[in-house]
Amino acid sequence: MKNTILYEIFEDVIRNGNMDDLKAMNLQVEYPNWQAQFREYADVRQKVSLALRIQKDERNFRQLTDELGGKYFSGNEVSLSILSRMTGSVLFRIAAAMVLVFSCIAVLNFYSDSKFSDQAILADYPLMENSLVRSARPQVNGNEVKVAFADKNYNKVIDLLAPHDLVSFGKPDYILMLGASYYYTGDYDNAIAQYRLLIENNTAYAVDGYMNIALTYIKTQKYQEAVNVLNEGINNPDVADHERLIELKSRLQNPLRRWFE
Amino acid sequence: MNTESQNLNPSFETESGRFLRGIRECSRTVIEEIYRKYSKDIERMIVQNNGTADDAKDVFQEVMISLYRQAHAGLEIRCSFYTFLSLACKKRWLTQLSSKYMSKTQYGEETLPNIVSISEEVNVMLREDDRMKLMMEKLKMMNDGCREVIEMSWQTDKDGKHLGWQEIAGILDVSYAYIRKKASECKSRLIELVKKDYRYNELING
Repeated sequence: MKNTILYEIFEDVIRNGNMDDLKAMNLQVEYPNWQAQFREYADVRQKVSLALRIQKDERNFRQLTDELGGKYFSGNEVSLSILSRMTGSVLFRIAAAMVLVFSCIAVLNFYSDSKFSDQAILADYPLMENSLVRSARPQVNGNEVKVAFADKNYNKVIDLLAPHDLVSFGKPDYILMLGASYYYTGDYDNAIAQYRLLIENNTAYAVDGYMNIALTYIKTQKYQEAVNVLNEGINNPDVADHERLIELKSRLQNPLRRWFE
Repeated sequence: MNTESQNLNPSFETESGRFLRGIRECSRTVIEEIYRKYSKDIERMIVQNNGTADDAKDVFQEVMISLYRQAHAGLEIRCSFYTFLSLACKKRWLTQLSSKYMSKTQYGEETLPNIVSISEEVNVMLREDDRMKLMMEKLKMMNDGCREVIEMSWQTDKDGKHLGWQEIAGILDVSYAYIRKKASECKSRLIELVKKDYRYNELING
């Protein structure tokens, strides 16, 4: 209530424009803080008054700046820099992802190559042959075939064994040696034919026959034929040792094998 | 030649004065010139300080409106217009950043190395504008009756003339004594509302 009277006085003085009237009023008796109150009143009055006076034009000004803001802050220049930063960021991420992917590919490739390549398989699964002959070379006069095989003289082995009926000869070792000799000389069809003979006539050596045929197919990159012959061996009730066939088949069919070849 | 005669003669008007006059008069040509000349620099500054082109547009507009209001309140710019404008935009952007992302004590030259001291002139202009906004905000919060009385008693025409109390009493169809008392009560309430606001002391003390 006290302030309302004071504000009436302030309003009149401001409207009349004669500030000296205030000093003459001796206001400090009743309003010891009147000067600070006057400053507050005048400040609020001046600002509100101005805001009210310009508020209509301010709306026009705002509309104009809205329009110009849309025109000049289209973000063209800076958005180019944002775009380049974003592009840079995206490119960086793509590059990082590619490095990661290529690293994975390299690891998988290495693993696949060292585990599932033809060379790895053929190294892990040597051809079934008479390895005793090779490791303990007989005397020259003792057995010419075995000596030739031990000396890797495969053509001589073929010359010596091919004319004979090895099945009736009853020496599966000789069939293995002849098959291996064909294999090492690149005559894969004859190698397979020898191993077929082995499978058909000697169940004890049948698993070696299947393995060797499969390995020969792998050597000639006939993988489906290799799988087929392994399946044949696995399903053959006369073959006791299926494990090696199953293992080779699963390795041959592993999805990582030749994934990246 | 003194300042007054310089102001009377447009040929001696500084660029800052010309721009400020153009803003005050809502001159499309001048305002567009300001946008054309300075918008990209302001945009770059804000974008480099964690903002976007949209933030820059808003800050620029806010400062232009502050300039518009304060130009009417008699603002004078003694430095180059660009310096004043860019400092005002930086200050506004800092305020927004501080309210958006961090407490007031956290921001500083470490986080925004490009932003250096803000000139007192800019501070005064922005503070005055903020006080005006605060007062208008509080006026809008008042009931219709009070707001109407205050608006009628304080509003002036272009020549600075007020409506007389008798005139106001006639428009509102109330007695002279009533309108005098009512006006003072409403103004008292308005000043109370303004002073109670937490921002008031900050704006008074800078």
